[in-house]
Amino acid sequence: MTTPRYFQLGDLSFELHFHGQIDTSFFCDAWAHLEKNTTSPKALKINIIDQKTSGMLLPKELIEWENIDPYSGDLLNFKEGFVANCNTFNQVFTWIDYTQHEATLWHADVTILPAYERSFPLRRFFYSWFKDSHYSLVHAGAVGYAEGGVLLAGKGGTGKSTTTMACLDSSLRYAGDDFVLISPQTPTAYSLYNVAKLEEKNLRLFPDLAPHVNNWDEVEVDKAQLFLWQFAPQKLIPSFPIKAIVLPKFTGQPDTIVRPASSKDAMQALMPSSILLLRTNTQQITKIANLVRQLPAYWLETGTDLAQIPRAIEKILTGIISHKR
Amino acid sequence: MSMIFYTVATTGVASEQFDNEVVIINVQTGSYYNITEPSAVAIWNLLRSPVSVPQIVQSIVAQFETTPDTATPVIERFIHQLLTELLIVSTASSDTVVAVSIVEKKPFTDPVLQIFDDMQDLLILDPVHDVNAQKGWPYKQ
Repeated sequence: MTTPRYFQLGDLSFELHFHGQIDTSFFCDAWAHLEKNTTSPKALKINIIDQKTSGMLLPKELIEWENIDPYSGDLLNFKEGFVANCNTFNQVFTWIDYTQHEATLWHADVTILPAYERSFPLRRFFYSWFKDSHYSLVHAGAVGYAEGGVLLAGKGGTGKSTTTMACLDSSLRYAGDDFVLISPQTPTAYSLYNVAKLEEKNLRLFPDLAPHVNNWDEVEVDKAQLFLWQFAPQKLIPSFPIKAIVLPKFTGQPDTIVRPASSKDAMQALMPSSILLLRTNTQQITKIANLVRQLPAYWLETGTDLAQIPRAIEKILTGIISHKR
Repeated sequence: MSMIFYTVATTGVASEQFDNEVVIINVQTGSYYNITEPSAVAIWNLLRSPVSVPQIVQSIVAQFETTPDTATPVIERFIHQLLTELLIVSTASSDTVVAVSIVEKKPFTDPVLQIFDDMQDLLILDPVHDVNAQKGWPYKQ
């Protein structure tokens, strides 16, 4: 067993404990900006087991199940206070014991996990962990300042990553470009992963970033992964109050234009992919709707002059923050 | 012949209303929907409890500038579409009483369901469960 790793996500401390011969960076690099040296007594303990190299088998009582929900992989009619989930594709069995503050993920063989999992490890586990709390994971980017920022919402290909990467050359800081944790109550965005992901064609827009691509051997078939904690740690921000929901839409025109959007537009951009990518239950829709109802929304028609993109977001934020002062 | 009632499906279907627009999702199929026509929003809200087509027609005729003869076929078509998309289910009985109050009638336009199926690929490309796996790990061998 290797040394445990400790992390802080919002008010949750969590520990990753590895069992077997596991490339721990696969699970830890995306969280590196949230890592800390010590843990807390109430930390959530997450065991990552590689069955192939550790020989640690799934307990017999967890194999005795009958029904699975093919949408989520959750085992049905399981014990109260626990969640059991079986991803038969990646061959990962997840067991969550809420009362003991402990979870275990058995991997039949960690080496068969798809390379893209390195960019957002444990996302479905954290959805399950937070599902009955005030937190929720959403499919969105997030950039801003300590006093306020924006969520960038839209399905894949709308320009969330291009927008966040265009902000690296500005005073705006980065909390995520794919998944972030939100608390609709405050409302606040929490950074989950420090990984930016860009399609090869969009990577060409940022030639300065090319040396920082972590997975050149996969870029032809998968998105380029860039771990910001390695080359721009000062740009990362762990959380900020959300002031607006911004919906990027690439126009191909030179200029970037901001237009008001409706709550329905924001919901339609944020909700479907958040729900379907994480295979959440329908209660998460209410959390997302609660967030959307509290915030103004804007279309961000992004242009080819990338420097205009952060200026447009700064202008949105300046308008909202100064208005509330 | 017994009356058929319809109501919003309780499994996998969720909706949220913003002003006069409703966003709906069916997580089982991966499709999501908009309804923006006032008549469609009114029908969707009626379907939150089991209702029959005649009850829906009665309510719509009371709220909108239309007649039962005009409204019935388009409402039946809309209900059929909601059934096809698995957003509503039929049920044999109902104790719903549809309140009909006299209000200033609004212009009637046909109810429309806008369907978006561009997310269905997410369910196919990133599966969590191989439905054909009969003995995959950690199934009982």
